[in-house]
Amino acid sequence: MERFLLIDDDDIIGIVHPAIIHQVFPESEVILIKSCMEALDYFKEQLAANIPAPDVIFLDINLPKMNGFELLEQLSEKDLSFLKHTQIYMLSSSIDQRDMAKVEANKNITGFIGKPLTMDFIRKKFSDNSVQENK
Amino acid sequence: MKEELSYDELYAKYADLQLRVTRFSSTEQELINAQDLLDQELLLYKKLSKFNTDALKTNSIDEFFKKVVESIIDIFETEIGIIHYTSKSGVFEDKLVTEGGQKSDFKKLLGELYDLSVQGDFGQDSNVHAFNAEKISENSLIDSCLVSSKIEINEDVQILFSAVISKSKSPIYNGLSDRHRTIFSVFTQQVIALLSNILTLKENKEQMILIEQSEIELKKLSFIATNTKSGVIISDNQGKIEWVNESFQTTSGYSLEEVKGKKPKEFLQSKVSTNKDTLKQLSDSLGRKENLEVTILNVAKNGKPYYNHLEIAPIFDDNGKHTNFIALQKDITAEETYKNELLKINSRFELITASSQIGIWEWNPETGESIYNNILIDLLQLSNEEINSGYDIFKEAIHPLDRARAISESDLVVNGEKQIINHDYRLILPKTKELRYIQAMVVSERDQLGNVVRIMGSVKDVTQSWLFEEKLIEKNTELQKINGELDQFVYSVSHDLRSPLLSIKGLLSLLDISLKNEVLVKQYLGLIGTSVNRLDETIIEILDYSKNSRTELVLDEIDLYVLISEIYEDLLHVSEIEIDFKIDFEGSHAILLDKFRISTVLKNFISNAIKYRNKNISNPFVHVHVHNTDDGVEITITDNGEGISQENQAKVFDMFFRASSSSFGTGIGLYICKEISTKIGGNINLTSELGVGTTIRLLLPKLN
Repeated sequence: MERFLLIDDDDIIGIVHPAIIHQVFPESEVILIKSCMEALDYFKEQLAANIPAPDVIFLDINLPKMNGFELLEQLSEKDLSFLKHTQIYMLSSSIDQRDMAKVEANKNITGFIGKPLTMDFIRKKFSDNSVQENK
Repeated sequence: MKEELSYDELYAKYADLQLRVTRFSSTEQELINAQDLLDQELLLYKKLSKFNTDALKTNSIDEFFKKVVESIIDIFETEIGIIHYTSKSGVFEDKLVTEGGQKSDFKKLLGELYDLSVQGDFGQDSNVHAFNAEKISENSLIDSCLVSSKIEINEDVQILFSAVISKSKSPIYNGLSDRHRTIFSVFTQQVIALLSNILTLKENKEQMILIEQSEIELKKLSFIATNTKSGVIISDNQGKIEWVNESFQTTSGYSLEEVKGKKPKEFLQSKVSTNKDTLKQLSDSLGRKENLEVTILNVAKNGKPYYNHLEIAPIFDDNGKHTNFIALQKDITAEETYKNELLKINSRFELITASSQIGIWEWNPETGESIYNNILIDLLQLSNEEINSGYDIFKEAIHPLDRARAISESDLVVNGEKQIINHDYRLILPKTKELRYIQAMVVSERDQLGNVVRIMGSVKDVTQSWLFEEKLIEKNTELQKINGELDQFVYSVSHDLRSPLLSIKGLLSLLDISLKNEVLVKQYLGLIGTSVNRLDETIIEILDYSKNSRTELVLDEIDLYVLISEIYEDLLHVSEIEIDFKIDFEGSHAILLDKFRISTVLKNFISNAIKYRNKNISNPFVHVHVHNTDDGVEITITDNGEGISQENQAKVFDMFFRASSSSFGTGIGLYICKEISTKIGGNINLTSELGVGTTIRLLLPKLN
């Protein structure tokens, strides 16, 4: 069973994406965080409570105050070691080439997914074995 | 038959014979006397002839006079011979030549002779005067007979010559006789003739010398005239050619035979090119017989035109009569062509500098002289008096911040450290104080030794292009900013447009598998509806933004109270929430405003106040206060909502800025408000405190 972390400020996406993930993995845990600041706090809390990092993070790019790329830059050594087994996907409505290039250049990012998430994608990528294989 | 003669007869015959012998001997005596006389005459003749011969042989006038004096003594057999020669004009020296007697006495004697010379007794011949001693006074040195004559040879020269015989010392003296007079007259004539001859000869000799000299001059002149490279024309007083030299024939192509008797203008003048005024000057000067120097265009025999520099001089004889013209002509076609070419180049150069508006100056370091072209003079607004102190004025005119640098850069060329520099500086024009941007060049010219002999420079007023460039940079910066904004705009708009669409896409995929679950279907359909509204809202905002930027203000008299109420009603209808909404007015409800713009701004403000209300309190309020005065209108909207952090207050008006994670908007609303406010000349002012509330104020000028 995977644990998914969804970082997105869009209320509707906040309903749609967990629903899609649950369609594929009804038992999975989907955590929803609406801003990058809250995400940083969340990592800190989880680390402090010695709770394992989520298996997959879907990180929106276009977020108020701090965008998805900025969040990745803000990650501390601790955060990175905390997230070392986590697949981080940028999940965005963006179709801008510059965003794609940033994704390519960042070794911490597993890949880019255009919104919306599809059940197909979840199924293919995160069947029990494939999570480990992809990492 | 023989007749016997008587005594008487014989006696008579004897007496007759006796008489005849007597007669015969007297005849014989007469014959002897005649013979003596003849001998005397012959001797006299011989003496006169000898004098004549000797006098003719004399080479100088002094020798001649000596001979005259000797001859007087010889011919008249006198003791003293005197000649006194005087010349009024002083051309000849006065001379006293004597022989015999005591020299010391002659001057006194001469005075007495002059006195006597006016009282001659041989009055028949005006030139000859002879006197008897008796006429002389008791005290006279002259105690004897004499012969004296004063003769005027010509207007200038006069001679007095005398023969003096001492009575006491000359026993055979018989007094003056007709014979003396005759001899003296003949001798006088002879002296006059000989003297005249000598004088004429002397004059002739002098004339000959003069002639010889002028002949040499003439030879020289004719040599020059013949051989000079200049053409020489000698014409008569009518201008008809008498002679031309070789050079003229070479230049014009006409031979002397062809042009003799013709006037030069008949065959040399060009029909077209010479200035009419010059030709008139030429013919006027010839008419007035004046010296003239002129350049005209002539045509040679082969049709080739040539520039002819003419010097013409009229020639007058000794009596001032005009006899000839002499003309010197020089073919200056090469010079003239060169000069014309230079003038052309110069005028082209002037034209180029004039149309390029380049100021040019030149400075000679040795003389300190400087030259400026008109463009530079105009640029510096110099008057004629100021041109000489041009450089000082120029230095003064350089902008104070650029002056030291510009001058020291120029000095590098003046000192010879650099050959050329290009530099820029500003000028403040001395008269109008206008600012000018200058692009300048300074360059030096050096002699073979490398010394700077001349400094030249150009000054170009590049103010226009500089200002243009400045404007261009400004415009470019603005464009880059706009471009960046546009990029951001497209990025954000595409995000804001796609987000709801992509949500709908996700919802549709969920709907597809949840059709049997009515609750989920309803939920998803509701969410699709919200997404569609959001999409619509975004599109409207973009349209509002675009409408503001592209349309002009449309002013209408609107009832602001009604407008605000309607906006609130519409918003409330959408949100369905309880809010204490209040509008109060100071001043009239009616205001001249652009309805679209004011309603867009107010809709944004009021909807923000509602959207970001504090959900933790029970009495959210939105109060609108309108203060309408003659100066303008002030609309204040106060709420007790979430408030905006200090940090974000400055950013809320930026494009696509969203302050809160609870923000629904696109981030374009307040940006549009600011744009509109700028467009209508208004001002927005925001105060806010997190958790307390926000007051936003719109100040609008009175619009007419």
